[in-house]
Amino acid sequence: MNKTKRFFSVGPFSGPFRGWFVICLSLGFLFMFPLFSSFLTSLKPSAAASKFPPDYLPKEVTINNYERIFVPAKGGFLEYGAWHYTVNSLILAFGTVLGVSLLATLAGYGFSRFKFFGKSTLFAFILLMFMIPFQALLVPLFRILATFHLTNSLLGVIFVYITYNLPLSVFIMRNSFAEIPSAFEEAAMIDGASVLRIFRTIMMPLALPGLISTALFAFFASWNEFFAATVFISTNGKYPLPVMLTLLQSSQHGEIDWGLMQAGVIYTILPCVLIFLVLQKYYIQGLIAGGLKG
Amino acid sequence: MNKRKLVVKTVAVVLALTPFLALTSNANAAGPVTLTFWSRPQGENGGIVKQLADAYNATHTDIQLKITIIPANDFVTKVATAYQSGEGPDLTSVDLIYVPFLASAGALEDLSSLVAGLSYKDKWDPAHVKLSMYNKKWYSLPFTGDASALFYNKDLFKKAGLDPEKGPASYAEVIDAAKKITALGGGNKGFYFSGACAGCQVFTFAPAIWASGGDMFGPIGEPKFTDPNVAAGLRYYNTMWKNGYVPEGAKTDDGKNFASMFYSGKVGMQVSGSFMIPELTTNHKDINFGIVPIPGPKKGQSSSFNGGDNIALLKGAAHPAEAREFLKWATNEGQKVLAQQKVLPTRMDIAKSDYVPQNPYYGVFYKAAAVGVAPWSTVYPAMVNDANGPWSRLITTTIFSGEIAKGVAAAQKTAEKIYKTAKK
Amino acid sequence: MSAIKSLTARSQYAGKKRFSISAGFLFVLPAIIFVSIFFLWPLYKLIMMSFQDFPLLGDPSWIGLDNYKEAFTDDEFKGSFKITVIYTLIVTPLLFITGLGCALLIKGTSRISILFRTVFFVPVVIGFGSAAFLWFWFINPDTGYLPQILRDLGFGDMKESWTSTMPLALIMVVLMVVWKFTAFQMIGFMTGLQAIPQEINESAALDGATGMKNLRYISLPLLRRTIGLLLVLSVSGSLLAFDQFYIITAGRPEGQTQTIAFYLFRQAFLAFRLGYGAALSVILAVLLMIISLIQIKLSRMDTHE
Repeated sequence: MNKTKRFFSVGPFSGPFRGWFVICLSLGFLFMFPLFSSFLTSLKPSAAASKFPPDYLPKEVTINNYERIFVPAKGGFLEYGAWHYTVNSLILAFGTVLGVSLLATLAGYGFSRFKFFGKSTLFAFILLMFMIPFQALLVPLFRILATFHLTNSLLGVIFVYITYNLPLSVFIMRNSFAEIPSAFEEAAMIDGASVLRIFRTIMMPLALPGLISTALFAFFASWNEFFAATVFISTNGKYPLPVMLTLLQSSQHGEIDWGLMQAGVIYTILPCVLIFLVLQKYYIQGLIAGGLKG
Repeated sequence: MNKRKLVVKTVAVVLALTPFLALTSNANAAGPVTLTFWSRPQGENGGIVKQLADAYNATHTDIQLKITIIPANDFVTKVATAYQSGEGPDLTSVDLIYVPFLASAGALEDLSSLVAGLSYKDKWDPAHVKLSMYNKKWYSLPFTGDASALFYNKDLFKKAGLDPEKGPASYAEVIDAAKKITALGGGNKGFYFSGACAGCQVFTFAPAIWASGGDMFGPIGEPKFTDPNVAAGLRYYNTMWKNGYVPEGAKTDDGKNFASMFYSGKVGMQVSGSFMIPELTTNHKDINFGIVPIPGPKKGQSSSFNGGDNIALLKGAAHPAEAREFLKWATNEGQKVLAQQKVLPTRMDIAKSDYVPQNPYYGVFYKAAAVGVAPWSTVYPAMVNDANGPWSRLITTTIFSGEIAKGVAAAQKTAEKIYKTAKK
Repeated sequence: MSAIKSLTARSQYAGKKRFSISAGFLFVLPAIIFVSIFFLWPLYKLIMMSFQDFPLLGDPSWIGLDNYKEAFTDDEFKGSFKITVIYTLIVTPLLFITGLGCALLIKGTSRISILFRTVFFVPVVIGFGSAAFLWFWFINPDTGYLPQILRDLGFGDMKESWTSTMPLALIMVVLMVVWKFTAFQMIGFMTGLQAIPQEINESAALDGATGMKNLRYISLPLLRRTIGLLLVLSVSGSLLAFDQFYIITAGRPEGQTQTIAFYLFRQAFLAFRLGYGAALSVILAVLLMIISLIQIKLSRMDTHE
């Protein structure tokens, strides 16, 4: 009985049924298989990766594909290897994460705790962002960036990324703060704690999962974004990783170099997966706190 | 007082961000004039423009080139968007088929006076010249070439009883060779093309139409899909398809297998570009191949798609005089650099003297370039490249279905709708 | 920061109303500034563009409602509308079922459940573009593993590309989206389920409502708001779908997998008609707003508790 309770909380379909483990294992395999096979392919030499029919396991393991990403080809047009562009991506990602965290926390707190004029309207504007396809706004955005002399600059791209991550983040932070009963703050106030202290010791820890998942979402979004980066940045040295990889692939005449492509995919995916694995406790908790409870 | 603290904190945050400002565009230093030059990846490793720039920068102290390479798919969007906001480059190398669009939109400088003073202005290949012009004025100069020709597998020809040293020279000869090679069996097929790739087909199939003097487009891009030569070309490919001389995969190949089929050694003939030569000679030495011009319906007719880039000066460039200097170099000494790097120059004289001798196969591409064509249209992407546009729909369906008259009529109708929105 | 905090203290807890308005406003101001400059302003420009003939290059000119009129007679737009709606109608319930199913499977608190939860979630965190490229390779008839597996299982030679015929092309994209987003819905359902107090389930079990009965009469009704939120996200994401179609099918075959967002992209960046593209965007946005409002209203129709 206890063992049962450990597996399942009471609810619909309580109790493990026969084959539960097998089913979960199969599902797990299904979910991971595409990723895993991509990884295997990235380890094959080019000819083998483009072979028909493909071998499941590499007959010959090589890191040549990864080398080609990191070491610019002689006579190629990329001055740097993937690492340089990764740094650009990291700058974009951290700038975005910083900006989003700051703005969303403030705004989330404001929306959750205060009544003020135009509150619903402003919130609606933020939600409106879910409804407009981003590429439609690209050209007007470029003009606006040009007005601020922010074209061809990572900072300009960061500002755009921050803005477009705000809807989800503000939503999450607002819900995170709303979860915290105001009774906590009031009790602490009565005990004479300063507002800053309250914010630090009560609000932030309770909203921390929300903040972390906000930060993670912002990271994933800015790390992978390609189109805006291509249009807004005009100097090769400033390109982020996705643009560099696209250039690398498109410069291959005729055939697609599948091994190279998979190496690029895996390299791009890897940081996201690693960060997720490390922070997943917070991430999922944050989603919970952030609003999936409704 | 509290508000002041707020201001102080805000300023602190802004200051903390200033390192990022260093990443924004910089002011020029005094010294040589820097010209910004954008291009898509070109040449064998995509780096030909950079090599050109390095060659130029090494020998010129007064003008220096700064290159930016941009993914081909987003190239026009990026140039146009940047230009509209005054953030465009001085010079751009652009796929020649986009020049009419850019010129019609008023983005390019009129280079007619520059051309008038060039001693070699009649040495360029016809396709690039045609695409350089808009309203009879020059808006760009020919830069890099990329012609198509017919590759054939000599061993398969021999096995099929055909003369391996003589490639086919007319529709009938191609069909005949395809028939004989397919008859060899063993998975061998006579002919290959990427049937679902509009861009590939304009490179490889359209020349078969042009060879007879026909065209899908008139001189200023008016749709002429109803030209009987178009139907004749479609019928030619359809004949090979319905008789089984073409591998099944052709119908759905969107370009992925463009080169690999010929490399497999089981395809008798395929139209392609010079980029296949290094692959063949390095990684597929077992294939004994020949190259001939793309044949038309009758013997002696041939054509080619001569693509590549033109180079243009954008309006509002910071240093037009220096840019013009570079343009002169790019169309003269620069062409020799191209030839050395195995890129087909658009200067026919330099192509003959510097490019052709490097490789016994290059002579065919030189000849192809001399008769090469490229479609002129101010709405080229919508007309030709678009996977859902009239050209694409036409060739991806009629070649396989055989319903040519219907397909042609539909294409003409769609094309006319698009043409209505085009700048003339 | 402490300045604002003091303001807050005074306003919220000491009831000095005259500060509460400005304090709250100050908190949201930075975000609002960004949203105004980088979203509302371009949006305004976009709306203006929709009333103009606005070429990518060159001078725009005002044409009033012509773009909108054209949109309503544009067969290709209507076609993209149809396929987008079909796609949404397929993906949304599918994700619902798979998400709920997985949630029911791993809603436990054991270590193993958590492990599986993590594994299922990995596809969610990889970028959308990366996922699309991955899938593009994975189903490639020559080099991808999926066709090879089917080949080895004896399903024929799989030479024909799955993205070149309908409905296979659509199925491929749906498959990828389900693979990527199931775990996201799963977490949503799981947290909703965990929020249901034990007592309700226990007393329901006493009355004989377990398994499917519990699901139907107890759990799902209590999950109404969760479902509502997940639906809104799922539907708006599907109606705006672009990347996956651009990368995996490129609208093939013959434009039959061309979603609204894809068509809009083509008009703006391939036909260089930004004005028309803008009008299409506005139509899409209005559509989304209406649908979202309906969904929110429906999910708020609170149950008798």
